[in-house]
Formats: sequence, structure tokens, C-alpha cells
Amino acid sequence: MNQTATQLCWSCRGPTPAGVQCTTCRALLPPAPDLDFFALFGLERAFELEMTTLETRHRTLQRQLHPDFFAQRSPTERRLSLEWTTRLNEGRQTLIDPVARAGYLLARLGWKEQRLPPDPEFLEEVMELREALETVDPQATNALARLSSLKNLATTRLQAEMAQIANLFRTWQQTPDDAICLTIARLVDRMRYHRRYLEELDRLEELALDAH
Amino acid sequence: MAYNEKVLDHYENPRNVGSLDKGDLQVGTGMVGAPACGDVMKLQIRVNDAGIIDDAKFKTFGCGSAIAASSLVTEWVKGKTIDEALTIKNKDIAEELALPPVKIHCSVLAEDAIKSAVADYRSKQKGA
Repeated sequence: MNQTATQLCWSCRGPTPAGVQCTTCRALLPPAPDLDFFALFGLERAFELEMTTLETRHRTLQRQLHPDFFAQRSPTERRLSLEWTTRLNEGRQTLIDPVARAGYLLARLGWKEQRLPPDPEFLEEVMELREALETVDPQATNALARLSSLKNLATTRLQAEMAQIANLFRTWQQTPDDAICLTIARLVDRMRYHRRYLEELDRLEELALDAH
Repeated sequence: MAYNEKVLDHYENPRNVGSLDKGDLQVGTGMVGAPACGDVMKLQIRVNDAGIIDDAKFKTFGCGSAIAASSLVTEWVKGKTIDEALTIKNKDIAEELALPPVKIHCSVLAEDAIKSAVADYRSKQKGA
């Protein structure tokens, strides 16, 4: 949120910086169209994020802006409180999820989402992971052990990807460069795949648990 | 969605599933896919001294149409020269398997796999 931009309050007609409420009459302001979710929750724009801070600020704002508090207010404010609540939830959903958060950060840096030509090295890895999964029989006695070792592998890779993404965003802040965004976008694709793979492992684990 | 009979046949009795030696100079490996959706297709061709593809293998993780398309192209490329193999177009694959519009990308993937395998074979030959 650009704190220096001023606008005229729809209620008191006085100037007010963009924000949640008019600084003069305390009326709810409309959410800015380019509202930045990081700024909304008072967070630094970075990939690494304190989940507890996000949750605490989300809760505080949610209480402050909840439609119940505006039930006796003007229709405009009732509508705005609903709009804010929607934006708050959207913001929380986006920032809480690492894949969505990375995508959102990329978009804020001006990166246009695009279909990337697959990277052969990664396809090779996907093939290996699928082959490993194919040989796991949920009925077999060693199924749980094998699934858990695949889970460790995929989790380690996912964490490494997240660490790299965090680093790359930091690098971008020093020296903005589209090549960095492309690398991040590729890593996000990998994260998405590893996450799906982990979901598949969970599904097989349940089958294996049922079988034993 | 009901699968076409030819798709089902290739899906249930896939031809040429397996692997060829990736390190072999006569072998070209093509790896294509859309990993974010979990689809990955590996197509390998072996080219003999006469320049003819004498063996082809595939391994595909994906939907029935993707498996059928890769199985079909392993049959089609065998006995062809690499230039002839490159004339196989996704449209031919889609027509042969009567793929519905939502599955056209599977035939595109199979065509890309041929191109990628040929490119790998050629780069190995250049390097040799």
C-alpha cells in the first residue's frame, strides 16, 4: 500500500492517505485496487515469512473490519467492510501458501506468468520419482518404509527449492533482473510437482496403513 | 469420458514399453512432458548403421491417451529413417487414435518426443 498517496475520503471529503480508515473521520476506505498483501499485513515483501505474525495481523484486521461491527453503519461502509474481509482472506490464502506466495511475489515484481518449456533435467527427475513410486506395492510389508524414504527425499527437495527461492528474491532486491524471475518461476514449477508427489505419497500411505 | 477402441488397445497392451541404453551412441532419448501436471514421456530410438530406426521403446506416466500416443509412435517409427520419423505429425497421431480435442496435447507431446529423441541422437553422432 502506498502510504504517501492521498485521496479524498468519500465520507468527509477530506484528504486521507490510502489505508483501511480515513484518518479524519475514521470511515472505512475502499481497498486500493493494487493493494499489496504484504503491506496489508505490515510484512516485509519477501518470500520468507513469519506465519505467526501473518496470522496475528490477519486476526486483528479481521476483528477491526468484520461486517458485524458495521451492521448499524451506512450501506457504503457495510459493503466496504465486506470487501475488506474478502481481501483479507484472499491475502491470507495467498501468503500462507508458499507456491501462491512465490507466484504473487513474482507478479508484484512485474513477471508475467507463462508456460515454460520444460527443463530436461527436471523431466528426468520426474521420471525417476514416478518410477520409484511405481515399484511401491501398498500391500507389501516394506511399503511404509519405502514410502517414508520417498517422502523424505521429496520433502528435502521441496525445502531446498524454497530456500533457493528465498535467496533469489533477496538477490532480485539487490539487482532486479528478469533472468532471476525465470529461475524462480522454474523452481515454483518444481515445488508444485514435488507437492503433488507428496500428496500422492500420502494417499498411498493411507492405503498401506489400511492393508496392515 | 469414454476412450476410443484404439486408445484402449494401446493402453491395455502397450507396445514397446521399456528402456534402451541411454549411453549407447546409436540410441536417441527424448524426454518431454508437463511436469507440473505429472505427465512425462520418454521415447527412445535406436538407429542402425544403415540409418534405420530398428528399435524404439517408451515409458510414459500420464493419462491413457498419452500412453496410447507414445505406444503408437514407437510402432510407427520402427523401420523408418530418422528423416521419415520426423514427418510424423501430431495430427496423424490424433487422427489414428481419434483423440478428442481435450486430448490433442497428448499427440503433440508424442510428436515432440520424436523430435527430441532425434535431436538427442543427432547431437550424440556429432559429438562422436
